[in-house]
Amino acid sequence: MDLQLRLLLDQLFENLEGLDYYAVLGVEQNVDGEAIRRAFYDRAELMHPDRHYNLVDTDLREKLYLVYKRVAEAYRVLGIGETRREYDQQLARGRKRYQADTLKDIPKDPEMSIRNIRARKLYLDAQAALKTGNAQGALLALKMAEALEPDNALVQQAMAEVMQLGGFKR
Amino acid sequence: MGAQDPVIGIDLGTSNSVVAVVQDGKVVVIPDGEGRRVHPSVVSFHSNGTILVGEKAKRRRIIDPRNTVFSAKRLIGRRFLSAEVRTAVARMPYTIKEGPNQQPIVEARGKAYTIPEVSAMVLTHMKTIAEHFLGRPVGRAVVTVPANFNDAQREATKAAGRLAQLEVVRILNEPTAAALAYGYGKGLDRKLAIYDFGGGTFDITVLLLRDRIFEVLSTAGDTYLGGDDIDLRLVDYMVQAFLRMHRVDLRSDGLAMERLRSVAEQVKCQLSARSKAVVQIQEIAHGVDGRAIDLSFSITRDGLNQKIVDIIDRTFIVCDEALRLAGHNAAEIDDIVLVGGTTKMPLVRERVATYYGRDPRIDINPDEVVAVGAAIQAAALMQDVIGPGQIPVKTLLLDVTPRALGIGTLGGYAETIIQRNAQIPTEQTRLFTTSYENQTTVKIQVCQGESRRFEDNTPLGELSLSGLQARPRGEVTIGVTFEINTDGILSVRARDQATGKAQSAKIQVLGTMTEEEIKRAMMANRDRKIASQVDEDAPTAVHR
Repeated sequence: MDLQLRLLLDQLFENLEGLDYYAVLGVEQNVDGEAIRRAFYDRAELMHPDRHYNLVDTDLREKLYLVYKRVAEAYRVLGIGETRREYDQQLARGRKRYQADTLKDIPKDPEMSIRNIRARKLYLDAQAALKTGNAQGALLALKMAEALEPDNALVQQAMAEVMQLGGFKR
Repeated sequence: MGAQDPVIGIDLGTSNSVVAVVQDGKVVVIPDGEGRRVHPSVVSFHSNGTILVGEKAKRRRIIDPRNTVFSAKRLIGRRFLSAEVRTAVARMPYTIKEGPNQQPIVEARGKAYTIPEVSAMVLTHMKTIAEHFLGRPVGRAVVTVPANFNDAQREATKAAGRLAQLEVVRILNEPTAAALAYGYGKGLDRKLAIYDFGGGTFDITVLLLRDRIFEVLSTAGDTYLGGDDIDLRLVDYMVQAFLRMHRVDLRSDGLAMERLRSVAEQVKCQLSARSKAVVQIQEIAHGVDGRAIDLSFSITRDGLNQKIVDIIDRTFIVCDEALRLAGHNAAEIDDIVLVGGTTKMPLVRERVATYYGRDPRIDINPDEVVAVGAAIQAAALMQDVIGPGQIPVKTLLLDVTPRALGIGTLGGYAETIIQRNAQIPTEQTRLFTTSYENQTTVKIQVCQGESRRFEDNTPLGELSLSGLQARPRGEVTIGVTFEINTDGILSVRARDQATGKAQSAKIQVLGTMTEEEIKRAMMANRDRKIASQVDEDAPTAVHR
């Protein structure tokens, strides 16, 4: 890797959290879309991981990868007019990285994908039976759950696991 | 291992495979000992214990259909319970069963093989052909996959490489490979559409090419649409005609159906060059009196076209979608590049020309273009380690992830974390909260697909984060980060924003081999005989 690239890389890496996307790409905030694309291509030519596929220095590799991911992120946001406008507003409020939305979703307990309430209960029964080592009972509960709600991925998966565990044949 | 070790490019196709390499800046499609450049992706398990691959295996499809495995790519990385595998179980003359980790396995001559193992046999064949040609061992390859292959399918393809003792340095999308082959060394400034209509899948990719930079703008596809569907349409037609004429239903006879399928494929290919095809199959069935019945059948190109035009037109629904995602319309595309055997049909070319308002490029070989692109990408990855005097390949590919990736949320919904067609490598984080009072564990179910409903997407696996603080519902914030590397393969991290406690996982993908299984199979491979049809006296390339 040549010296000039190393200097650029160090400079970006050390300030990464403080730089806005325009600075990451090395352009002024008022440039047009084509200039954004050209700047990104220039950065990609230098820093894309594929350009350094055989680099043996793992620290340097890691650094390059982290910086390039941010370069790509900058292009992803600035490359589309709509997200660029949103980002410009966020930037005016002092935010350096784009935040898609503040929507908070909730990682579910997996059984909530089972829509039939009785099937869900049976699925939970099966899990309880498994904990006590009752594979036969678990299988029975799962079969009933399947009858109530066929093609539910979770039930199918649990069934496959129980079959394997208990050495049952389908 | 020397830096100048050749890295080959392999197009591991549904029907056929091709291997290529870059030598001195020029791409060479590697022929086998008999001069063949395109090799059937078929594996046949012979009664004498030999495993045949390629052309020799394909010839056994008719005489030994139960022990001859083809179209393994349709099964790779899919769960046994998936619609695709279920269809294959019903259609394929060989036996498909359920194996560990929800994967399909094939059975031949009393032995079970995983799909990556079967694909590894094809890869080994390609590797052997390359080694004979180059006169030296080959240990690394770029292997191509359809653009809309999901994470599990990519992982399974990588596993196949390892089983074939090939380090897969990159999993490359087929249409992107075709674009590389088309644009390499031409210094073009163009918008390209790669129309890839193969045996089992259809993909469309829109790219911006600026000299040596290839930026993928969008990609879309249909994994249930291919040339095989045209063959089956023709088979159905022959079956119906035979039923009307002889009152014998051939559908219950696996061997007869396989013969019909083979004939249908030939007829389709013949009608690309001629306007009429005549078929005579002897003793396809026996009548009630035990007398043998032949099938004779003729069809014109127009007759075929009428029966299949709806299949071809389904590709344009996918084209609409890709263009919309790229923010372009059909008229803005400068060049349309055709890939895949099905694009050799005149009707496909006509319909494509109508849709885009210009003739597609026909100056490239649709059978070989993907392997050529794979070889170019292989050389591009090695451009920083080439020997003195060698010509570096300076193409740079900016590819995207074909499908959205997200997690399951309350009520059976899916929430996207990485949008489809995001450029890779990429990393994106979204914040989530707990759903119950004092919930200390979350299970994060990962899926691929654009549907709002979790179960309409492809489940990829799950990870859990425990030891969360016991707090009222909604008060614990969890940051879920998805990262896709340059192979298009996903890793997931979850982090409790308050405590900093984190859990990361390379999720165990379903529908393919586990790490342990791969290792066991690699050990077992050592004493397996794979008969490659490479001639020992094959001409080899001269090497400095």
